[in-house]
Amino acid sequence: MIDTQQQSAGRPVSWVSLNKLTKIPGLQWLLLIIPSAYIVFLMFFSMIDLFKLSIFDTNGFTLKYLAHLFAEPVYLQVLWLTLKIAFLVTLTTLLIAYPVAYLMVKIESKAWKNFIFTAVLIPFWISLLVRTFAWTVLLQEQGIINKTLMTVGLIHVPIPLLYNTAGVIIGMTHVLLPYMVLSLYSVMEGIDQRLVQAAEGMGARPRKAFMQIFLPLSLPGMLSGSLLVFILGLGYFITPAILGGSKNMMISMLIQNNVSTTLNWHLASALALVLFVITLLLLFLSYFIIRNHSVLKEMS
Amino acid sequence: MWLRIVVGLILIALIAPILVVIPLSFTSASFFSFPLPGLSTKWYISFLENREWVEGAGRSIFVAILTAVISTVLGTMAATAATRLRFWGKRVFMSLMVAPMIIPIIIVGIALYHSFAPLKLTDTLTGLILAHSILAIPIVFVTITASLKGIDRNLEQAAMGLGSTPIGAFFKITLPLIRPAVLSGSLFAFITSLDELVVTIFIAGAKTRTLPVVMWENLRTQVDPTIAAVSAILIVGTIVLFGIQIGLSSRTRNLNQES
Repeated sequence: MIDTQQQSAGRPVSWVSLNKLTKIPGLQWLLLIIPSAYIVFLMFFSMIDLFKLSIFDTNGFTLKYLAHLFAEPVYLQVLWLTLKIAFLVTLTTLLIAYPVAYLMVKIESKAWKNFIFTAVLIPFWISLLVRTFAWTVLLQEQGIINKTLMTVGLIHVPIPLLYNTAGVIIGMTHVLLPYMVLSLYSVMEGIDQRLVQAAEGMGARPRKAFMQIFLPLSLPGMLSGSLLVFILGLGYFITPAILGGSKNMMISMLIQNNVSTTLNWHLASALALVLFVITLLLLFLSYFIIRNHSVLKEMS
Repeated sequence: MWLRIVVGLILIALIAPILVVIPLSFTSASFFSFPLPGLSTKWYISFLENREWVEGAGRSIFVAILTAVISTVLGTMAATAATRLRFWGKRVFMSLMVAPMIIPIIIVGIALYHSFAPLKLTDTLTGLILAHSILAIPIVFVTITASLKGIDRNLEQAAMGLGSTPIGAFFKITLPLIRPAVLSGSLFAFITSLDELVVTIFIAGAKTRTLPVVMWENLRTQVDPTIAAVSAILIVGTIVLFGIQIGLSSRTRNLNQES
């Protein structure tokens, strides 16, 4: 008895009150409520408020802003270019990331594996603006890439790499590559290497074992990585705005333009709604594919 | 062997563009060309002497620290709820927590601008911190959830069996175990805020321009080599932060193994 009294007297007051606090039933639910309220109030309600602008104006409900988007070829062109760039970026990241992720699961030395991991992750955390700035220097007409190609003799006149679609794709591939590598790696890591060895043991050439065993098993990673990169690519703003120039308008640049320059909030909201709906559809698609894919089913 | 050569080239292509910036920041010319016409530190001096740059940098660090604190607390709470509590609609909750990472950032940007303007939160540091923390919470949430899933719950049960309250067990048992994840989560939140531009373009005004906003304006109008000096500082700073983080997490790992 004396013992416990001494103990509680020696404790700082805050601990006593904290212990008392935990006796209030249901307090643990604050863990759930506080963060969700933060996101819902700040982000969700703001987004609903924003989307209201696309279907309501001072005259009440209207579909004219959305109809306008689909009637004007300019907007459809922007949407088409956005989808095209996102698709091309997805394809190039997939092609480049696959060997990197494959070597990461194949390599035995732990030090080398960590080295590759670090090499992939450092650019991931270096400021996006710094990386975009670096590309503006490299891709210039008198930049290192053009100069090197000319010295080597591959080209005679500088090729335009900046302020066009090529520049946007190079810059965005650099930015989005780590997402693809990590998605591929997380799936490849779970593939049982003994299956490939078994195929080779039964006489398959390494190439055939890879094509018929490893590649199909890595499909889930290719799908999830591609969808992630595609979704992120659709909404990109900074890189295309700096490397693409005004002729390569992507949907996010058009939204920004409508808010900051022409102050057409209704149209900006309609464009944002279209972008949001495409993103949601892609997310549902990925969920659907992952549920119904035979290889994926066995893995989960 | 071919695979190794290909991957080696890819890694060089991934890192070299960033490293090019460092020698470039020491150029004596006022344009970017290789080879450098001469070496000079004048662009670093130009950065330090320019109030716009220095104040932007100070503001960015201030906002990033507060963002890291808020998002680490909220992200840890959410991760604890997601791994420790049983409730209906957990998947909805988890999707809500990662949503800001997947929703196109331009939408989040104009939505926040639209609702912050009538509340007089635009062009304030509070507005920036609120906006940045929304974008940083998912990163903290994902990092800590992964770490909490790997922890032996029996340790908490044992603490509670010995008379500790759930909150006491969390602070005395769980938190020390997930400390590396909490530290990485807050570091990621800090870097996210430091580099955030899309939402910041809308929320920040004349009085609250952060470093990325100054860089952005510089990149869009006149490219002056000061931006190379700033970039070089950011690159070295990020690598140092990561070195510290890797050092810290490997030390805690060693300590855990020894004990």
